Amino acid sequence: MRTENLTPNGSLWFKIKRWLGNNTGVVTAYLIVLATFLTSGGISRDVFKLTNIITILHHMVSLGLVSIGQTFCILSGSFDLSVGSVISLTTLLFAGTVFGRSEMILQALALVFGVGLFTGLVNGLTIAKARINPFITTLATMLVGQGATLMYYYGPYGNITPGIKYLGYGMVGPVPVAVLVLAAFFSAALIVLTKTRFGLHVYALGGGIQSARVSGVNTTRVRIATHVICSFMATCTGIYVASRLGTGDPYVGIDIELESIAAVCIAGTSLFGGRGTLWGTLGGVLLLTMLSNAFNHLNVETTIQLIARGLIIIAAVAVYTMRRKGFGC
Amino acid sequence: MAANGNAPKPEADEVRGKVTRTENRALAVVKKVPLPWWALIVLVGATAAVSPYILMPSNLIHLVRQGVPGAILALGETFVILAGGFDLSIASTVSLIAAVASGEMAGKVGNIFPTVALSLSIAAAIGLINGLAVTKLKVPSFLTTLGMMIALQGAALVYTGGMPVGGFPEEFRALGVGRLLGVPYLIWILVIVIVLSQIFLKKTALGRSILSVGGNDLACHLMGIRVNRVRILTFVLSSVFAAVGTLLMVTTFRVWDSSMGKGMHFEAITMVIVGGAALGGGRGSAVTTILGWLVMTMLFTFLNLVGFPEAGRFIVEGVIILLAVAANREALMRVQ
Repeated sequence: MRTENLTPNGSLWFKIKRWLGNNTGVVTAYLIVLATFLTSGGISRDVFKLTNIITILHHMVSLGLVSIGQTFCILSGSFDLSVGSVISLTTLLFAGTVFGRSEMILQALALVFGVGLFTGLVNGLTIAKARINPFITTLATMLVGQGATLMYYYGPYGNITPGIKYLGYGMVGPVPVAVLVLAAFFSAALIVLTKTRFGLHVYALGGGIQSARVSGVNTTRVRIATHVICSFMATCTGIYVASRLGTGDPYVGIDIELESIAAVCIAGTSLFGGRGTLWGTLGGVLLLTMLSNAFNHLNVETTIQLIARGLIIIAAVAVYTMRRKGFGC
Repeated sequence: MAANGNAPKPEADEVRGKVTRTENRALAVVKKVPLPWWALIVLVGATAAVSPYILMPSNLIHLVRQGVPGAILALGETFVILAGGFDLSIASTVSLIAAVASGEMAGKVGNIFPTVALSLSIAAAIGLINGLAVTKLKVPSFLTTLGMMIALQGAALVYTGGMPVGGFPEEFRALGVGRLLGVPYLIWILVIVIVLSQIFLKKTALGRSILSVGGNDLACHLMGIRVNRVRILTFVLSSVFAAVGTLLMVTTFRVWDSSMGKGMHFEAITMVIVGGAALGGGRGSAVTTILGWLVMTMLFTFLNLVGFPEAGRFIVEGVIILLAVAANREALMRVQ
């Protein structure tokens, strides 16, 4: 977020170079996406088919929704490990409450959003008011959520209605409904982050809590808001996952918290806050989804996929961190 | 904490009178003992009240022996946290090392020593890669070790093909059940590891530099400490400790199984933090970590005794972490 204009009349080449320098991470992520797409497409022609492109977009939705929320947290200098638990719990509460009865949908929505927003509120309040490290706070809520889930549910439970199933499987023309929902959330989040005062405050808080506070940002309120947004998006993800699965599953959200943090940080968004964009998050989500898609088309074994995935995460982050000053920790 | 223990100034005492002074002394004693110790005392008391038998030596030895691998993992994690980082990759390291140890030993006595050497070398290499990525490529340790965690999960599955491989010879498994002077070998090993770690962290220049790097790396750099080397060392130590913990753990297993190590990274971090070390570095020791481990072990023993549901343990664990950190923060603020 460099705002000063060093060379008002700088040459175009200089401007491009400066832009590339500021956005190395995002550019790298999209280049990897493009390279993966072209390489796998060169080997297996099915990759370029429209149906496959739609499939990739469809597979982006769950990770995309949760990563949008995670972006708010990470930009403000925090992060949320509890999203996975929120997702698992949401799928169970939602499918369990609806249980095939369409008249129960409103009650189910009220319940899951109540639980989700409450989690976000607890996270935000604990971090902002008790000033406990976000890692510890959200690890604690993650464990509590996981425990609460496993205490009441031993396996898949609940049932959805055909109307909800439309969210997971329905199509508008060639485009899945879920992709449109993701696009809508993405646009809304983009507007909030780039065009509103609140968005600016999120960046300010991530840049430095002291300087944000003395500049008149209500840091407590912004911190709580980012966590509530994150939990809200996790709840939405849970509802979507339930609509795909047709039921609730206590283990479905496991490890998605780490994957969403990776998706946000792959493309140039600093894990320590204040720096990054939603376009980076989109690039990260696209990259992780594209990798699985390409590997599947090339018949790479799942085990090798895991190794490649892990190393690519480290390498992609290294591209933009390695030229930083200071010590890594 | 030591700063709180100072007796009040004499003038103040005369004003307040005798009763207050004794109260102050009692309070000073309470404050002088770090909070985790009180937690441990209360837990032991509560456990004894529910069932005195659990505190008989034979039972205690059994309890402690089961927790040895977890304690060694937590000790390794301590080095990384003290230097200001995270190591999430230890859970997958456990899985990979267990797979390799099981596969390479293949039930033969002659393979024990080469396999142990191989396991420790693999672990050291993993730690070195983590350390280099963090210090040279400046990838935040959270992301480095997250990537490594995913990669090693894959590596363990590649090695085993997802199925149990090999097996451990009886002589190796004897290490897990054998005793010296009535105390299992595992506990002796743990005691040695604790003592060595504590001496290393508190009495050697290199060990003390781990703490100071976590406190302020730039200042350390200006003082002539090679910050990057110290950080790399912490990651190597963490992975090697994870390997040692794994080798001790598998003495009680027959074969590798894909769920090994699951969740052990968060468990280890919890123990380190509950004992009183600061996330972000600069504060803590091997002893605080062991304290955290004892508190968590006693807590779960107590919950088991009173018939608390298994899944509810997560809830208690979450609440305990939060309380521990909140209490430590209070303690820190009082010192300042």
